[in-house]
Amino acid sequence: MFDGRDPLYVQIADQIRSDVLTGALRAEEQVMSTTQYATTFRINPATAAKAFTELVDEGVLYKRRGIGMFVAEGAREQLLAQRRASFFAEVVEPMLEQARVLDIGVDEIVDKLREKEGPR
Amino acid sequence: MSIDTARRPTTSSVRATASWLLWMNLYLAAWFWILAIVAVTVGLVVINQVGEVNNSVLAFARQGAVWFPFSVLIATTAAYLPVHIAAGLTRRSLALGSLVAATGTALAYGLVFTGLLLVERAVFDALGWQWRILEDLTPAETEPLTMLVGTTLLFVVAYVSGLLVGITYQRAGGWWGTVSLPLTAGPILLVFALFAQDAGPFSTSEWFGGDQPLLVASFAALLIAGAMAFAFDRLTRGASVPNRTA
Amino acid sequence: MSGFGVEVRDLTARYDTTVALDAVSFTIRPGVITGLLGRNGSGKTTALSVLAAFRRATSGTVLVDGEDPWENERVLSGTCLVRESGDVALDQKLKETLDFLGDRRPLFSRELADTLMDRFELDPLTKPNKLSRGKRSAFGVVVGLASRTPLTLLDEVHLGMDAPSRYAFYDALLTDWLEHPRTIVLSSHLIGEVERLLEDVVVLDRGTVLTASDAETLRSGGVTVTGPAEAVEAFVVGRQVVARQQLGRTAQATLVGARDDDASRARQHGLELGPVALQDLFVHLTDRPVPAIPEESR
Repeated sequence: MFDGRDPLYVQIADQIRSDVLTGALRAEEQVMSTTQYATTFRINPATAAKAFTELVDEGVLYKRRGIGMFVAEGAREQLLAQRRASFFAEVVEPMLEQARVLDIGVDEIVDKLREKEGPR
Repeated sequence: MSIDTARRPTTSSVRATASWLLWMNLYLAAWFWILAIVAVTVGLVVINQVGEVNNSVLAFARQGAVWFPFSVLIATTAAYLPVHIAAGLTRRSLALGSLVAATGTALAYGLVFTGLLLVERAVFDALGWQWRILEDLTPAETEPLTMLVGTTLLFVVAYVSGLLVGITYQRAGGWWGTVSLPLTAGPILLVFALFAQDAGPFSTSEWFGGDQPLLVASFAALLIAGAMAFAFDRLTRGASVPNRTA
Repeated sequence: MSGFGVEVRDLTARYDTTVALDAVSFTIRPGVITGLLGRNGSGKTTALSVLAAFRRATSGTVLVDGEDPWENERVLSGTCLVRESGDVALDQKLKETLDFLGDRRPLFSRELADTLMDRFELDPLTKPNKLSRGKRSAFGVVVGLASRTPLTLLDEVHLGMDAPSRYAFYDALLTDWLEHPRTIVLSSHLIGEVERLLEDVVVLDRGTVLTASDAETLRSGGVTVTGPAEAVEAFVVGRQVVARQQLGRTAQATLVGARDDDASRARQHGLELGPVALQDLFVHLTDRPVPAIPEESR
């Protein structure tokens, strides 16, 4: 776990974002504390804290004084919107780039995708 | 966490060091004197069987009481330095604590030795044996106070010398440690002579008209002990903890 | 403030003719877990020995919590250096050493010491010279953590320990550090397992500071580029390449000094970027050219 190229705190934040996106963490659900996170994954607590600060700043998590951190209402929707935007920039556009090089037409791609998706 | 709680007065770390080292030496002293009493008793019984008892046997324990703690202190000085520094204490408190412990140990050995000599004399008197000290101990050898002061000061010099030999080996290594033995351990022999009646120019019994031989010898012994203590203190304060491999 | 900070300026330390540290400067932030990394003989132990006043600097300045540590009662009582060899009385029972330290370390926690003794399966009635290397290291950890000193220096302590003991050490370190924040320096040449515990890193090499930064910056400075050999070669032109590997037509190059546009350039050329473990980066950075073997001895 956490052996990607991004800084550790980014990877930790991404992990929590995915959990919110997939519904593993629901709105108003309490998340692990920095301390629990650090000791569970043997990570420097300052690094873990940085990830949580980032998520709080983004509005994905919020703090309840003296109790802990919770998933914000509407966090999933917010993340979905962001991910949708980056999906086109990071997945679709490079794919079209490659397709152009290989001389594959957009129609061909769309057909292929329809086929994969199967009849609705 | 408050950093101020890490503050600790110097006196308490000196006292802790001194009492720790003193207890260790007194523990060994107890064994030393128990063995000495057993040996003297056996010796007296044997001599009484084969011949006539006409001098103190216990008096011979003085050599052991000089050299046994001397060698113990050489060993502990080298071994304890890293432990002391690693516990977050200063060299200053190590030097002072060691000197206090050495002096305390000398006083303990001096008191026990004198006390046992008096007991031995009482036993001799009761059994009708002749009690005298063959070894030339002090100008007035049978006077308890003279015995106490003379032997205690001899022990002080011997034990401070043990500290000095230990730290010299630690600082300078085996070769220089050995070369400097006349300076670091030689004074013990000098003080033996100072308190003796018949030691030529070193015997204080003739100095300053010979009126107060004990006073003169004591003063000279204290000067020597002071000089050695000073050297020990200087060497300890500059000592590094050696790199020791496990 | 939690813990002592350390300022080292132009520190030089010599042993007779050997220069162990050559005008070294670095800072250790108070309350942070810092890694002091370097190969054997790089000067780690010497640097720590000067910080803990085990020895004197030949020249230069060392300030611990703003003061020279040498013969400084306040600073020394708050500094604990645990060397791999362990500076405890070898002929005393472990219990006696803990008693001894409890009387001398102002913040010593006997409770923590006893807990750790249990966890490392150390018998309080044995003596250090009867312990295996691993157990002796574990006892060093007990001493270092239970002393709760504002500056705790642990020199290669985890090396001899077996895996379960090492994990127990990491867990105890983090848990106790969270409850009692303080400055902790872990020194080692093997950092794989500890790298995520570190917030800052100082790398020493042959008596000088190779790099000093936060661990994240150091780690993200390294990147591997994998893909067709020609594409990889084109990508790394003008870059600091510290290692190269090739398998058939696929090549991998390890770079130091990642750039912002690396990801987009890689995507463009069909290359894959990967992380470099701090340990690997460290090995590459401190790698010495292998001397050529003379003809005759081959």
